[in-house]
Amino acid sequence: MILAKFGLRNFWLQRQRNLFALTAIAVGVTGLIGIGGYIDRWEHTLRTDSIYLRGQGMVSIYRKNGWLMNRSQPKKFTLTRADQEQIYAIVQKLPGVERVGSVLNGSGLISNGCQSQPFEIRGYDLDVDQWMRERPIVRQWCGKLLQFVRGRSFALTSPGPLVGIATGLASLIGKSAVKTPSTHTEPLTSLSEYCRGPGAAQRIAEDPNVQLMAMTASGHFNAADADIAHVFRTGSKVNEDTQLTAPLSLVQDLLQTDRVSSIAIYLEDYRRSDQVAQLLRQSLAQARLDYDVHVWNERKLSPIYTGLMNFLHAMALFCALLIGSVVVLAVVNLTTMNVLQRSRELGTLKALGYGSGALLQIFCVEAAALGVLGCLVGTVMAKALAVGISHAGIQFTPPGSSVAQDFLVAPDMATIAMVVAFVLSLVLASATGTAWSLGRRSCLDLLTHNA
Amino acid sequence: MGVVNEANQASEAFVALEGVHRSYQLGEARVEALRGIDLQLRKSEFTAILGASGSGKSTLLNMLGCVDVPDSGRVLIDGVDIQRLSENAKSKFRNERLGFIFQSFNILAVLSVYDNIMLPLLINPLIPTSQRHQRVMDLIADVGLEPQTHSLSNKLSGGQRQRVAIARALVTDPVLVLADEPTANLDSETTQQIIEVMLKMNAKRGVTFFFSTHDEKLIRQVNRVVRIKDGRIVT
Repeated sequence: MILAKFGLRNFWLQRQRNLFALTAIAVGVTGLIGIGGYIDRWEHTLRTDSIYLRGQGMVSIYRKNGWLMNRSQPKKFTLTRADQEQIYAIVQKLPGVERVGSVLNGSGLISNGCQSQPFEIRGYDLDVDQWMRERPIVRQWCGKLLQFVRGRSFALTSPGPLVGIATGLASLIGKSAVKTPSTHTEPLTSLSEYCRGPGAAQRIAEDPNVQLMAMTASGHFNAADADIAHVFRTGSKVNEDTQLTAPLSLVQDLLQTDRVSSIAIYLEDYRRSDQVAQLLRQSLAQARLDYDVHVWNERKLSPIYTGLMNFLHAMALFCALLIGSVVVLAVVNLTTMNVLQRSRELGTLKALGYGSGALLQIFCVEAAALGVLGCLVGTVMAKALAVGISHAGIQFTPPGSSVAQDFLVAPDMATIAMVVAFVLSLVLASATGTAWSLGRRSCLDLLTHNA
Repeated sequence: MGVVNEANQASEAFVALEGVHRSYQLGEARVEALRGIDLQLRKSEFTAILGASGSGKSTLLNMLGCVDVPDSGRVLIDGVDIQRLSENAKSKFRNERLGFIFQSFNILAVLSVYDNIMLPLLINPLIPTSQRHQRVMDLIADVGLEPQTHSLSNKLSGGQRQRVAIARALVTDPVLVLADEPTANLDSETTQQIIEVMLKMNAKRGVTFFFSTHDEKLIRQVNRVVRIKDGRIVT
């Protein structure tokens, strides 16, 4: 207790000198929490996008090799009605499952009646779509992507065959209108007149009707009419010119199948994804069912998430090394000065019978006080910075993104705890290391040292 | 600990230095600080060592204080050959058997009088925790610092600081107290007070004092004077 008091009083006595190291630690903690908060923001957004907006769920089930082949060979690599029933029966017994939905992917040509463009379509259960849109986490982290550029959700636009169209694709086929209760289509008199007559572009733009053509599961061609319920942003430039969404039933009608590409499982806690996937694999194996089970954060399922997270983590590691070096240098410098200036005190303690361990304890107390105070100040500064940045309304468009995003810093408690633990460890290790190497001199050396 | 020399036990000497040599490298030159010192002290002696600057007084005190080791010869204190102790054992020996009073007091300025005196007791296993407080308070009373018990040491005068140092040196009931010019930094009035405190402790507690000094007042009141010159005991 007295040694702790001694350490703390020395800490206070040397407050001017400590201020420099304290500032370095606080700024370092602010920087690291800021970087961590920026990464956390993207982690939340991209995870939510991967799991909910892309309809993958936390765990998804495909036929063997179905993830890769379900579009090119749907007959062989999609899940039949019997498959779906077997899988649903097993999934119902899994712990922590919040929702289960089916997804059917397809591709084909979309036409405005005059010209066509290739599309990729994802059909999903309407009730899952509605449930997903109401989830607070989706609203919080993917609010911009959740908002339609125009139009409303399928549930609010029904009845009739409906599609959602990405902004790029809508632009390519010259469509700007979405279906409303007052929408009525003029009877087509002449295709030539419709496509090339006066006011053709406006006529096409104001007509929410599109035609979809695709190869069916059995290898024939099929076509369907649909109205545009909404125009949306995919968030990714790569997908913006090709993407369509639709209720599962429409895509199944178009592809003339009752199959689905995958079944998506939504869990109460995404952190249990691996555990649930493992349980599911075991259950499927016990039932002698051979399906592929994927977890949402596999590289092939979420390439943007994994790619960006790897990049951000590498960047954070580099910054942590730089900031850590500055903190270590500041603390080593401070401790060296303290040990040298207080050599006589240390010598006296050794003369009284204290060993090097006890002397180390004093510097540990001082370093802990410095570290705790620095981390506290740094955390408060980081929180203030995060609030300030979040309220500043700064927007930017990340590379490859089709949507401008808010510049946000949103550190999790886990990130703050990790940064504090990292910095405190550095402070304690560098202080004790320095004190140990300087303080293990002999009692005589310490007593006769002139500071 | 426990490295007892039987030959020494047989003798009357409580502290014995036998043929102690110590030299230092000082730049190019080799300085012979102690050249075959033979010295014996008996229990409860109040002994001063006198000598000019550089004569080897401090080196001799360092040997007795287990903070330096001889190049050759032996240092025996209360039957223990200190050269055979490990560093940890020396620390323990210093804490349990020796007391130090420094010329510049060396008390910890940021701690109170009470805490400074308590310091050696915190790591002393021989004195039960329940007795420590009373022991510190008794010593504070003995050195006349009761009103300053909880004052920070940096608020004390030089004389008061040296009293704290004396109390700290005595709090573990050491067998030998070593003092390096304990009155050198004090005015004459304070010097007299400190001498009185040391004599009182020597008489009351039977503690052996061995100290270097140039102070005539102090020299006049000791049992024995040892003179050292050029690293050799001359009387």
